[in-house]
Amino acid sequence: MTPIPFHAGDAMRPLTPSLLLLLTACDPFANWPDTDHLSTDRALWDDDVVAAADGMYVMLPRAGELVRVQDDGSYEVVDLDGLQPSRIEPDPTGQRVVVFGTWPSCDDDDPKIRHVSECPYDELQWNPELAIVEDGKRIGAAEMPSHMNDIVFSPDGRVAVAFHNEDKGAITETQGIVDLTQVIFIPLDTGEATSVSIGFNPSDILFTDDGSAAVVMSRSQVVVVDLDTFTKTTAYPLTLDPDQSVEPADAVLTPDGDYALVAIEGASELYVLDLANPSITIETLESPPADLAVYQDPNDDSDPGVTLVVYSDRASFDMLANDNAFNLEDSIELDDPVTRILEGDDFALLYNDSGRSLYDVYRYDFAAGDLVEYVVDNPVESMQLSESGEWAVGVLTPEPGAGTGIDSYQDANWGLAVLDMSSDEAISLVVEAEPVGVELVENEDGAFALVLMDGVDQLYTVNLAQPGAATALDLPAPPTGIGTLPDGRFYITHQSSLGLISFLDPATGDLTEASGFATPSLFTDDTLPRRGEENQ
Amino acid sequence: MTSILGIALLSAFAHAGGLSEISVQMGRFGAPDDNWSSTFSDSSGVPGQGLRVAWRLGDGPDANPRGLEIVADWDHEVRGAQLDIGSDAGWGDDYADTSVLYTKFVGNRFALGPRLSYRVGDWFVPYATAQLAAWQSRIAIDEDIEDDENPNQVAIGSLTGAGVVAVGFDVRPITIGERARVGSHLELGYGYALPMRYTADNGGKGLDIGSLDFRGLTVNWGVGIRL
Repeated sequence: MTPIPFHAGDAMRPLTPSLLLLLTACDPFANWPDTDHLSTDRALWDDDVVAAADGMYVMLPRAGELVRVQDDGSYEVVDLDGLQPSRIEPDPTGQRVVVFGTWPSCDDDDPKIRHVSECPYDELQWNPELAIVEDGKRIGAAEMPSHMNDIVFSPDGRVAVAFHNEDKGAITETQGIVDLTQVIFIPLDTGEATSVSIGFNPSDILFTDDGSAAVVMSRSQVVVVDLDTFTKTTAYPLTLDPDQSVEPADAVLTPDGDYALVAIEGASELYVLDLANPSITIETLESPPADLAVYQDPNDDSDPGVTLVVYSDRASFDMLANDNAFNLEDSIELDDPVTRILEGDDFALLYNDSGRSLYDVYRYDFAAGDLVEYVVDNPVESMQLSESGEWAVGVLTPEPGAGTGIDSYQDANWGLAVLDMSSDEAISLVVEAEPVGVELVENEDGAFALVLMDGVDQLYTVNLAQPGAATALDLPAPPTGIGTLPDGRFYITHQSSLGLISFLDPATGDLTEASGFATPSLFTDDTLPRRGEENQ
Repeated sequence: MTSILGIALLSAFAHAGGLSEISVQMGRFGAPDDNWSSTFSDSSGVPGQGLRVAWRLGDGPDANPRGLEIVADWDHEVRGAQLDIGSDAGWGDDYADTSVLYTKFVGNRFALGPRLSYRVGDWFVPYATAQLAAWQSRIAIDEDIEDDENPNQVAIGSLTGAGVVAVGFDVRPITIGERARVGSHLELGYGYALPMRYTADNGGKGLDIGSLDFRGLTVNWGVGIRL
């Protein structure tokens, strides 16, 4: 049979190689097809990231993975041996990261079952675990009861302590046996967890400065745990009546570590626990404390210092001398109540963050005993001090309808308060949108606030000496948060489906980006990990 | 793009001797992979369109009802989705509600293999075929398809191998000129592709981010000229 001539082919023959080249080079981001509409409940990445010395750690909820992102834009998936992370925390040294999560196992031994989706529902288990990650590698792991949702670290980063913190979420699922008195101590070098029953609903944990002991608050009881042996050394009952429950609300340790001062929820009593010679003294205050803080002379390590107490319902604050007697000194009167204490080297900054229409911020100088009052224009949501203590910057919340004319404009908007500790001046700025992050920088050029706002793709740098002279730096996308890196730079997370973090060098203003690190979330793998190892 | 590649393919094949078929076709390759159905398409298959050419080996159909041919297929696949990111996106409901990604899969599957047929009567030709294929693809992900400058545009290519066995039939009811006929084929089969792995360009270091698995029922229907 003779094939029919095909003259069009002759005409195209010289063009064919160039056409094929053209095909491979075409823009992959053009000509999007008529699309299907899909949805996913789980985010590709979680912008609650952790900055460690070796990079940024980011959870990928959809993929159930953890990635480490570098400032050069590269990233790698951290092998957690099947653990799907739900929470990450850095240790105080920044060298290690602990990862809460669960990993799936199937009780059905059928070797044909290799994926989560193939395991009968009744046979599928999700096993809680805490993994320790260093330099992008899982160096240890500890079994973890499923209700554990918070972790704190000893000051030297040697020991992590996991417990259930009711403030961080209620228990939604009971797996096996739940011990609500349980606290788990994990030496990060070995990962060998030790469980200690403390008291019902552990709520707060303090550490002595030398890292030798932890003081654990729980309902009606405070327990001291030795951090070398992980044994209870002393238990302090907060009530002698078993029918009465006493909930610790706040606690501080004295600088020498010999005393713990414990405030009680809704009560005016302040419990002074003698940790060196176990005993309890109760100081009666005028009202339930809203916040406690300890001050020590920065130039005198032997100074026992004083403990400050502020109240949400009293326009005054109290001080107790941290000597053996813990006597209350005369109250210092204020115009408005305060609920928070910020500690400077030689002063305390007192403000009210309760949301009430209160505008006073106070600085109390311990050495001179002076009280300075600042007035800001809107209620304070949060406040922070610069490293030198020379500046304080607060975020002010709007209170619509609170004023008239130009006052109503200021009242109706979010704001920023700049407090100069040397001139005692306070300036309230109006900002475009709700701040999602404020960080303070001090260098040879001065002191600056880096301000990020919701939905605004610019970073504003406010010169605190001249607050009206703010400069703006374009961001690649609206920000969601800002934090510091161990080397002093800043990271900024952004609204981005596929992952976007900027790295800012405050000295040069250089901004670099890492993006696309949530790409592995597009591909999920439900292979059962550790198959055959579950019962070993 | 489809027409350009099709013309190029025709240009190359039409000059070979023994040409017995030129068809345009459309079909589907099974895709039971959750990663496919949750990210690129809500269907369980990859639809495609392309070309088929065949060369006869041995006698022509008039001389012998049995026929052996070499069949070459090119199928071009484009599929995409708008992926809405859900309510636990981590930065609040306002943004989560508007958070989307656009995904696109573009594939080119080149298959080659023998086709054994047996003519029944004048125009009905059942056949069986087995083909090996090279399957090239590229996925593209874009946060904002209106903004070419956005930092999250990711494109990753992949190449894998595949095989198909199928049975079908060809009907050739209309004669054109002395020998040419207009025909149409319909075939069903099973296809299996090796995992299509994607390696992201990751600051100069490749990172294997996952794979798509294509296998299962294949369907092809086409119309063209038989010689």
